[in-house]
Amino acid sequence: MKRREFVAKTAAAAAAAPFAGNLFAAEADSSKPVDMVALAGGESAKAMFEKGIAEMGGMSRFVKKGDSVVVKPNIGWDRPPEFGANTDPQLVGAVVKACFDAGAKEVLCFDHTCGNNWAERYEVSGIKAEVEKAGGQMVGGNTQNMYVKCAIPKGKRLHEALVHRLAVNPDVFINMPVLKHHSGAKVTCALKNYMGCIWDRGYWHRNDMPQCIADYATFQKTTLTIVDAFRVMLTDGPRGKSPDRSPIAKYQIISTDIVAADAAAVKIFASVAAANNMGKPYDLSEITYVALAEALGVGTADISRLNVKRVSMA
Amino acid sequence: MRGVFLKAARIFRVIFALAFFLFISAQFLDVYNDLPKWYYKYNPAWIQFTPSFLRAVSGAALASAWVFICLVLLSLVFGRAYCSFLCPFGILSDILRRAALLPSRLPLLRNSALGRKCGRLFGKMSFAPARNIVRAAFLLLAIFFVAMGWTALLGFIDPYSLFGKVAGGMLHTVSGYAVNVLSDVFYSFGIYSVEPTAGSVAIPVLSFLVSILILIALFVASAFRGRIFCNTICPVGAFLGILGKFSLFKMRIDESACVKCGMCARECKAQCIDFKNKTIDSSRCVDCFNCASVCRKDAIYFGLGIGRGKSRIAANRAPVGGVSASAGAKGKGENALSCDLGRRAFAPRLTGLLLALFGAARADAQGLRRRRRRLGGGDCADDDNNVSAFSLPGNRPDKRLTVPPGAGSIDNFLEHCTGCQICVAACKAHILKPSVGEFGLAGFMQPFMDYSAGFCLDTCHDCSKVCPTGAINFVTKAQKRNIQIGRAIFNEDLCVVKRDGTDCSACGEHCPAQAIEMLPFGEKEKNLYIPHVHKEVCIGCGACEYICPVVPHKAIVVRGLAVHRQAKTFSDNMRIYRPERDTLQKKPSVGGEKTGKGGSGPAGANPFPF
Repeated sequence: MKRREFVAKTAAAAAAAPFAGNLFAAEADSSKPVDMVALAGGESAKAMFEKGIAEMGGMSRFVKKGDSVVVKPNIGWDRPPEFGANTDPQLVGAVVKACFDAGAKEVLCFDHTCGNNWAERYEVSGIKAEVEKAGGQMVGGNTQNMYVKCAIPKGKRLHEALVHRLAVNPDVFINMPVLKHHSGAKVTCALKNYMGCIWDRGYWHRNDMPQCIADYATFQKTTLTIVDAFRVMLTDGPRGKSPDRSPIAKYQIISTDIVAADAAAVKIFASVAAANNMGKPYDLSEITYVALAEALGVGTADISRLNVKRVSMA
Repeated sequence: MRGVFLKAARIFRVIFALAFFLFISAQFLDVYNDLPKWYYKYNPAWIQFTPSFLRAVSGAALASAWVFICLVLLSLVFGRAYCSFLCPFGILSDILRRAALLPSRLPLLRNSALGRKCGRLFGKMSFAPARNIVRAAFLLLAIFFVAMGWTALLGFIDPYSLFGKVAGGMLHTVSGYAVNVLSDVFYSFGIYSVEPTAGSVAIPVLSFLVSILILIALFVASAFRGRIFCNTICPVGAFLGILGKFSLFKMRIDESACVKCGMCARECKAQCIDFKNKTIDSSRCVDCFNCASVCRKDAIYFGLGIGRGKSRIAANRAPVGGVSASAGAKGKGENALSCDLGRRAFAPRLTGLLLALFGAARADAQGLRRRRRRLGGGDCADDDNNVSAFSLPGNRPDKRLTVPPGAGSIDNFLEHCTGCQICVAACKAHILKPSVGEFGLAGFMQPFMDYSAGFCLDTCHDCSKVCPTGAINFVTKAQKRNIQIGRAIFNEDLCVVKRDGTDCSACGEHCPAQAIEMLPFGEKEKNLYIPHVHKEVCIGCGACEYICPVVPHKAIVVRGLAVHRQAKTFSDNMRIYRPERDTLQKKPSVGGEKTGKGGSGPAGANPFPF
């Protein structure tokens, strides 16, 4: 509780500083479309998203009338929202709603959860309730018949994969990772979240996982990446041991560039870890799959090359 | 008057039996594993006869025997009502018999060749003499199995376990597959309303075949001879038959009203009405009331046995002479002899024999088991040889089978499990699968935990909720999370981190108990982490083994314990590697380009570290 209070207080102090909001918002070049909106200090992940997507130019910039939208949050673990092990359910609900408001024909949501009891995980995470409340549809991801074989032509180690049907060439694909510690990948976020789109994760694990993560990103269509860093699990990831390992950090990144989103997320992770003196503040170079994805041309890890809007919410 | 009463009783019996059958089948039909909580409060499997007997003999307290005592009392009052009202295998037999008769009863088919044939073959029952030697033999065999701890074999003559094998092997598997196929078809049209099952409902082909075989055998037997299983093989039927002989209420024939028309005998699926001698063999009568409902003379009634005096009992005895006379004429003298033996000395002799045999065999069997356990643990000695004796062919030899939390020990599990498959149906993770040799031939169809299909979920304790025999005793979710059923054994040389020098940590991320800690490994620049198992924290759930990507032999496997233990809860002072310490030392390098300013964290003047 102490840590959370600390983070919340300091975040509030920062936001209360005069001209803070203007200063950061002013960075973006208004003549070009915004590539990334970074938000800090919002009341909830949902409120931050609503502010952020408006800054991005509204959901209608990405979702056209009659589109079929696929939302891929992280629903990997049987942990309630306060663990920060899964994407914030209200945020997922808000995204689904925004897609419908923009005219989406249908919004489908899935994850290949870790462990067979996927239905339970959909429920425990709170995501099923929120998605269905917003009119979206949960789709199973734990039976092999849902997966189709796809070639990964640009892959170095991964040349083909069984990909979830919904992830294969959707009209709009929104990646909604949660930022957290990961015992294997060190930090997991947007690129790593795609391990929930494929069937045989074991193949990745035994064939240079970081490279496979980068390889797959060359294949997966990504319209938008929304990083939930409202809570950041700093240790004992990715499953999480207790909510106090996931202090409230109040960050969110909305980006059209998945690699940049990850690069920004890793830096947020490091700074939250340092501020809470918990977990390890990893350097971006330690999270190897980000550089590997950049090398394959998936996106750029150099955030300064993008048109970034930084929004600090009071 | 009594005719009306018994007709009503028969309708009540049919409705009750069907409702109970559906109620107990619900567990096997529950492919999504979401039966409500109250179902388990009134778990119908709990009041099954053999499971209640196994609980009674295993527990020292009377409390564990109350269901058994109630069932015995019920039978002493009403005879074998259990067989018609509460035994799912008996009810299944009735259902199958009705199915066989359906063509001859449906108006559409009644006059077709099929309808006429079914009617001719199955429609008419007739009296058959009791096979008391066979019945006694199977009852003794059942007691012998219990005494020796060979409950898996008992499961092949016990009616509830046979029902479970049919329901678990057929009903659950087939309905699970049906749901999955349906869902697959719907999904391909973009309709996502039918969910597939969570995990695979597949069971070994052999156990599926056994289920089919049992069903077919019961169908044939029921079609031709009604309750023939219940009155020859079934040990519960034999035992309740003894009680039925002395029961307070029995089906009786009013000799003055009976005109020997034989209608009752035609309808008697237990083949126990000898209308020529106007007697009913109450050791075989299952209280179905079919006879009374067809009797036009109201000559059959459900009456008190006591107080009617000796004449009734004498009348009851009449078939001995009658049968021997008629059977003697047919050259089957020994049948009469068996009837005689059954009547006079069966019960007391049996009881004496049982008690002696039971005690001796049980002690001996336990000694055998202990010896086997010592042998089993020998070649992969753990701290105290507390190792499961069962390995899986084709797997690492140090991998050993586990039994679910609540079982207490492998011995307890194997000595109480009758292979009814109810836990297989209840398992949310779909990892309990009927064994086809994993526990040896004597353990055929006792379930084993198949960590290649998934892992035991720390949010689930369903097998302990459903198990009626005491093989898996009830444990709460919280208790279950601290029960150590096995220990993960990590082989560094097989691990991809060492072998290929690449990241993995699949085991570490799946471990629900924090028993796997990732420690820095190799050169620092490579930034690799390798698993380390905190043995005393591990609960043996199999998550690490399931997810370990290494083929063909997993780098981390679970070695089952012979006797379960309490696991320690992971606490931070057990941690070997503490990243926080590294952090404090090299704080200046934190973050990225712009965060150098005094390590301000997320909320300095600039909340964005990029």
